[in-house]
Amino acid sequence: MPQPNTSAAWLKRESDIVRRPVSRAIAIESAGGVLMIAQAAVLAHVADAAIFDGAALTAILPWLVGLFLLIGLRAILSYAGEQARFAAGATIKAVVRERLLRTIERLGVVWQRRMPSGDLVETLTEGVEKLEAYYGRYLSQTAVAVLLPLAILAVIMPIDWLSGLVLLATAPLIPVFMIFIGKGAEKLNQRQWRRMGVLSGHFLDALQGLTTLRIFNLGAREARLIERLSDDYRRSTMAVLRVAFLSSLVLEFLATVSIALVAVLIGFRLMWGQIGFEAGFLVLLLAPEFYLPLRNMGSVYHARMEAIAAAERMVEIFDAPALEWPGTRRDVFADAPPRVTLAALGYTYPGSDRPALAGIDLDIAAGETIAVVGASGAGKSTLALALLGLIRADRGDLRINGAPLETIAIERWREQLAWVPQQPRLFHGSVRDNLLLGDAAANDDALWSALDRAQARDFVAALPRGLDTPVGERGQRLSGGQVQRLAIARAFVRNARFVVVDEISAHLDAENERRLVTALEALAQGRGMLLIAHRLASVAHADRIVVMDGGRIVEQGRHEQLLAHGGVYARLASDSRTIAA
Amino acid sequence: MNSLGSDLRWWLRLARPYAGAFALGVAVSIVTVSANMALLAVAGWFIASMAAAGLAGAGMNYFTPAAVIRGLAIVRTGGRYLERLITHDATLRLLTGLRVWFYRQIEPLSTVDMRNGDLLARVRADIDTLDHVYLRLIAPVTVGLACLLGAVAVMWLYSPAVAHVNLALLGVAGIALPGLTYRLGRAPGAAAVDTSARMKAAAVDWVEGLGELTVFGALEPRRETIDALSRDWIAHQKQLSKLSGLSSAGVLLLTNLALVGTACFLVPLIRSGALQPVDFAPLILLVMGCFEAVALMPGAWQALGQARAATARLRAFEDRRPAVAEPAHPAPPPACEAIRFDHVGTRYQADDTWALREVTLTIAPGEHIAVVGPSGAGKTTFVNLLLRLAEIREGEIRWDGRPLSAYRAADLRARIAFVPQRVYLFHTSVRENLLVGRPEATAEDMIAAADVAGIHDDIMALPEGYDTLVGEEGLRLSGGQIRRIGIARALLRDTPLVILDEPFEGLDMRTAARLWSRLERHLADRTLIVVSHDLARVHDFARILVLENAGLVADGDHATLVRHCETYRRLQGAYFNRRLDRHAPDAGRGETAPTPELSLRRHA
Repeated sequence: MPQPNTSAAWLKRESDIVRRPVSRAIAIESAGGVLMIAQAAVLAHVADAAIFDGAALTAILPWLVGLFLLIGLRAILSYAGEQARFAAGATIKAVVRERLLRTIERLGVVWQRRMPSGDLVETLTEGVEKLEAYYGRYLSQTAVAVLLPLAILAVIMPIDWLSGLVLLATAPLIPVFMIFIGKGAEKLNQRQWRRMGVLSGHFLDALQGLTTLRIFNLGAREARLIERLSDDYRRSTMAVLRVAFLSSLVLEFLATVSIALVAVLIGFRLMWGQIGFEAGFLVLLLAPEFYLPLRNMGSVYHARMEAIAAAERMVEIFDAPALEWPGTRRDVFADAPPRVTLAALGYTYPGSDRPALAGIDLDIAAGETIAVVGASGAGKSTLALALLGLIRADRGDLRINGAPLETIAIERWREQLAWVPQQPRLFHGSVRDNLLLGDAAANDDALWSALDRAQARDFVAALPRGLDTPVGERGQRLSGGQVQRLAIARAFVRNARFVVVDEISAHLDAENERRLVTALEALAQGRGMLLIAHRLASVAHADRIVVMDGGRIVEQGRHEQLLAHGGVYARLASDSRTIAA
Repeated sequence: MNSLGSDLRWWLRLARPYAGAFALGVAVSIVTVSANMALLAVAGWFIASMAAAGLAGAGMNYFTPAAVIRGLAIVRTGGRYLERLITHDATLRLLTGLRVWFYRQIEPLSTVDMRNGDLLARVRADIDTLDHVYLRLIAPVTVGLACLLGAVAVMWLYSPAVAHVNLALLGVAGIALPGLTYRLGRAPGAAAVDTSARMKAAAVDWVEGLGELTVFGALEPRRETIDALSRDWIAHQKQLSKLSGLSSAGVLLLTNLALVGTACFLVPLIRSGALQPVDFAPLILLVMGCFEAVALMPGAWQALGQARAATARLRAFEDRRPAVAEPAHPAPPPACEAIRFDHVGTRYQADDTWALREVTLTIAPGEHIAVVGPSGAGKTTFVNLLLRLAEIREGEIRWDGRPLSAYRAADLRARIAFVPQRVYLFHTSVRENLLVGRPEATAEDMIAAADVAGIHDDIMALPEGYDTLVGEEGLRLSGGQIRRIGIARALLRDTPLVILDEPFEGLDMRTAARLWSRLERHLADRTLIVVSHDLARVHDFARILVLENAGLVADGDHATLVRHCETYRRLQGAYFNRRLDRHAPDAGRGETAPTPELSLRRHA
């Protein structure tokens, strides 16, 4: 990137996209300003004619008609200006949102897991909304805040240079004061926001832990605590507001006093006959308009601050390194389970100093089932991610049917794959929608047969609307074991050649556990499988057991061999035996 | 949604304690806005009169108007400052009241209602939204109307016709037009809110399912769905923007028409001598001063929509029934833990299936009882009934001879130490979390309880010991550690009845065995109910209750149950319970399902 990627610089750079609507908004609003000046001039003329010429309505009528036309034109411009500002905001929102979506996709799961998903979603939705005010209001308003006062000065100076001088002298004070006071208020404000965060965090905490408070009979105490915290917050907020309001008091006072000064100066020169009434009245009409855009800058500046804060997370996303798979080969797959070879495979998570995979050598024959066991943190899940192409190993070699994964078109490899994560995500939609993720073209018969083989037919059939039952965030609640069996069914639907399974490790009752093991056994038929196992029952059916520790394979072999070997595995197995005894 | 009148009454009722401050705020605000209008008018009159005096070569008393102008400028700026202070303070007080009101409102509700973290987050936002009711709705409308009417009354003194024209045009600009915009905007506004909620849900799905969607090659269609929703959302906003653009253009047109209309009526009046010529200037400027009062109003309509939506959601909680009813004349707290279930049944909602049915049994004081059964058998419901977290629908539970409903729930809970299946830790220090059990406990009591629960050493190993913060911004504890803190917290209560729901979940087997032997000793003379999956731990109980399909299927010791209870034998299906990962000292971490309270928080 040519410029330092602060969010303010980013916001400015992106304004290229909306150059046209923003320029249009500036042009329209400036034109509106010119019309406003013209209207004031006509009004001043009418007032002069009415008061000092004793003019008849008929004589003034043409001027009033002109006034009417000016007003109509201003109304049209006001509408057009709003549309131009909206267009600027809308364009930027659509463009940035789409770009964010595409970028996040390319960053991969490792990056995504480190980022709280609530934050990401907030950025995509409300964060992007906050950009609107910057492009829709800030950019055009700052231009207008310069142009309009200049235009007014240009009108006032020739007719009354003294008033012009008063305005010219006081005008710069307003933005200077505003920035000066605004900076201090900003700091106070941020502190206040943090307090607000503490307060509402506490409130949410109390609501979420309500049952706990209730069973410990602490309800009344908590109500008093909320009241006290909330009242503390009020007091500190008022301390901030007193300062913040004081600053706007100073600004308003400045503007009001200057206008009063202009009025008084005009009044005396009118009495001394140094200036005509029409000119004096025009200056009096224009003086408040001179300060108006400057006074509006406060709220516009606030919009800018909000946009900068929102853009911070976006810049972080756009700057994050993407996970790229450059391969293009599409010819390495036959209609059979692939052979997967790992040679000295290594991977270290970004920001970590310890490799998660420290040289894995493993040859998975076509159709073989490998069970991986080991303590948490041994590298089992990382190994699974590497096979799925969700991370790119930094050392060593991962070959599919002899071809390095880097040379293969990644989507072709993924077409061969199915994945049963430990906590599968149920997507918003029906059971059917979730199964069709495996193969969008599958018919209901295929789905039921997959559910059957995944030992999931019974509970799906018992759901209120069968395959059409909504699941996911707001849908039917399913147990962990049931969700995993649905994910197994999805893998059946996909009819993949190689399956990566991370067995659920939470406690299941005997019945659920038996069904899960049966389903996994069926899934392994005719495919390659890498199973991260937590149960002896699942391991027993594997062709080979791989024991991992500290990112390495420390033992491998069949159940009996490993038991006889008397190493880590034997210790694991004997531990679990004592539990079951 | 409730009627507008009913909502208004509800707001006023909640605001009653702060009514004085609110009224003062409105009064000061009226003075401020009027001062501004008067300032313009007086300035207009001043320069017109000065010009007239100059032309006539006459002198004029300019001290009084100049002083009035100065005074009004001070009243205007100072009044604005005072008004903002008063109204903001009153509003913050109101928000405090609302938070406490809401907390009290939901405190007695059943637990099932409260599982939704999104709902709670929205409630929090809704309460904050209600500050608009006064700041953006009631105050501006009252002030705007009062000032408009005042200005129109002043105009009436000069010319009734001018007053009529202004009343009509400014009334339409300030009230009718924004009202119409509000009505027309309701449909696209609701559509925009709905679309944004759908987009948010789709984005949550997409972000959290990123890995699976990548593997299944399903990213693109989902991304396109989100993108389409984003564009829909913007399209709805465009409609709203058109409406608001038309509305503000309309306000501009109408207010300026009032200006032209006023001029039209004044010119003949001056010509006929009915009006002093110099009065033209102040009257015209008074009309311009009214623009400010009119400008206060359109925002109020917007605020009305938001405030009513928030109010509807908050008021919905008023209609919810508490989980259990409190007795009108509570019996004195029970003296002992003799508990009898007599054909007890319950369900959480009238149309739900039974969560527990036909349970009859007796618990003697000091008895140690284990409760086992497959998931969903009704174990937790059994416990919830004793804790008065669920209401009995059939049969009766008698505690020390009286039905549960005769006691205050707080009196019963004071006799129970309970460790729920999902221990909730507050986002504060470990110490504060333990003291939830007994806020007045001494440090020694607390450490003793932590010792029995086998968590003291773990806590001392934390960066700041008992003062370490836990939860979102603090340390992440393992599932097993959270559970043991929950146990210590309950033990701190020192009650005659102890209920542990799945106390060993997430603990490796050695820790579980050590914990159990300490607990058994510590709780020897108390009534103890343990709900557990871990059949290795329940062998030793003299009494084991087996629940299945919401019913009590067996009640006896291990030996009897093995012989006579098929369900128990099935649960014992030991082979499948062999776990490979229990040896890990930290087997609990990340392997127990996160509590729904914590996992929902991620989107909050």
